[in-house]
Amino acid sequence: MAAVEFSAVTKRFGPVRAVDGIDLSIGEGEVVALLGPNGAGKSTSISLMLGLRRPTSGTVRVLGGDPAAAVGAGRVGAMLQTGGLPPGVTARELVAFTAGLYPRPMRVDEALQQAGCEAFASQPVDRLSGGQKQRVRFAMAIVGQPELLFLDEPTVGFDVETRRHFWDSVRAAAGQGRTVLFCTHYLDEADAEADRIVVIQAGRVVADGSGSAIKAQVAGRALQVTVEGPDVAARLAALPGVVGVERSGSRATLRCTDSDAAVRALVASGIAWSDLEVAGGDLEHAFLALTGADGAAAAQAQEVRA
Amino acid sequence: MNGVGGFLGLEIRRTLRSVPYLLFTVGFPLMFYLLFTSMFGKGTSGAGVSYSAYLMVSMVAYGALGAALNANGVRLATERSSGWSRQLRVTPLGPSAYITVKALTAILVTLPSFVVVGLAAHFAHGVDLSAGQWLTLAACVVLGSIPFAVLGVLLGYVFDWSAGQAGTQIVYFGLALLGGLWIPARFMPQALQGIAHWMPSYYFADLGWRVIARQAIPAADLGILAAYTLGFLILAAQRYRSAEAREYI
Repeated sequence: MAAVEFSAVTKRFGPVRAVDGIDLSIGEGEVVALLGPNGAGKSTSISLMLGLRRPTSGTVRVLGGDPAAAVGAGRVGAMLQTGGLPPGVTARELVAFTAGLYPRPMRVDEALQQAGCEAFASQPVDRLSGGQKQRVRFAMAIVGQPELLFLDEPTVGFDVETRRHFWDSVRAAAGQGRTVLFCTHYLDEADAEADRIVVIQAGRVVADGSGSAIKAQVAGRALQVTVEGPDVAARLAALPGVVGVERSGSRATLRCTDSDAAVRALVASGIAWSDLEVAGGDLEHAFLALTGADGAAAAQAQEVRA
Repeated sequence: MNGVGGFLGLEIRRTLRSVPYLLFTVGFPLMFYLLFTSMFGKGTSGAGVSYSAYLMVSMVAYGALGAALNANGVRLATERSSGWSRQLRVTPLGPSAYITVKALTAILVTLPSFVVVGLAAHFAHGVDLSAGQWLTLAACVVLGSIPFAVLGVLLGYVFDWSAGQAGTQIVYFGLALLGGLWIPARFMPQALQGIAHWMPSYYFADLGWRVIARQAIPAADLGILAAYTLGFLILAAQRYRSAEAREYI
């Protein structure tokens, strides 16, 4: 049984197609990142998975059934992007109340400790900082011991230290066999924390795989060389295995699908070059290519899909 | 059901800790009670009831009205905009349990104003009722505040969070004033008196005025309050459904 199953799902808001035909299957125990720029349809997809919204067409199944039923049965925990906390209660009271809603909660203290809330558990939540509130919301998401955990942009506004601590907690939760699905627009976060990255752009899945698979799909490696002359960039771009060239002064970066072929061709090309370096393509380039930061890259993304 | 009880407890605790709640719905009625009784002295209103007892009922009604309306008039809109109601939607607490607990909270938090003003009336002005009268009065406060709890839910879906505060206060003071809670209806000009006799707040207070006068509660009072409850329920359900459709479909 898949934890989450989208079949030909679309969601329209008036003329806007927020989700424009997504097929997706997430297995139990997977840690998956939904990556995409703002407005790509990530949060709408999460809303559909949580039964907060209904698809215009297609079907969404969560843990083998209707999303709202899975939520109602306490099998799902979620941290939403705009999950304000009510004033006038302490963190502990909120987590204890949430625990009471689920059939098999963990101990409240355990949830507070796992989320790193012990230090401020007895303070009214309206006096907490943004990062502390976020941790309280994480404690609320895990206290019911859900099978499936949704985190919508969970670390926005976190400093580096807090982020690291937060992901330690998520990994601990995932380690217990839980399926974790999170949205982010931090590439490094998706790369570091997820087993699988689903890149969403304009309501469609444009890439799906591990971080390294996606990097390889778009541009396996990057070559850097020092070159001279005005027309050299075009000649470099024409080399076999090269999919893109960026020029910064005399330094050119070649994005490659096959860096070995590109190097051989470069040597044979008669272009005057020096200081060759080879580096792994980074996810940021892959992401920009996939989400269409420029026309060429968008076309490339289409190739990747095909 | 365990969770629903926990939610009710949480909501009541939150309300009792709120400074505006304590000030407007417990503090003000007490203050006005002491002020009005010192102004009107020890006279008696109609039906041989002392002003100190009559005003006690008026001010309990005033406080209870505020508690019932404010519990949700402002809060529901605020919780929609802050995302808290959305966060609750992704827990096993269903949307109908959410609204039911909100309305129940509004009804129950009317009791502190009754207790405080009642104690002041008893100890400061010697208002002496039988145990049965006190209990009947408490029941009238709780049951009579049902239409206002529903009205609060309605207002919470009519106003957005920025207008909720002002909008709810206008409805609150309008109902208090026009219902004769501050100035008894029979001292009002003819036209206003006519309006007072259409106000649910008037019939809410009238339940209590009948109890202290040892009169039977007229069926018409209950009928009018029930009709208002039904009307507010229908409107609240409409607004709720359109808000749901906007936010969750």
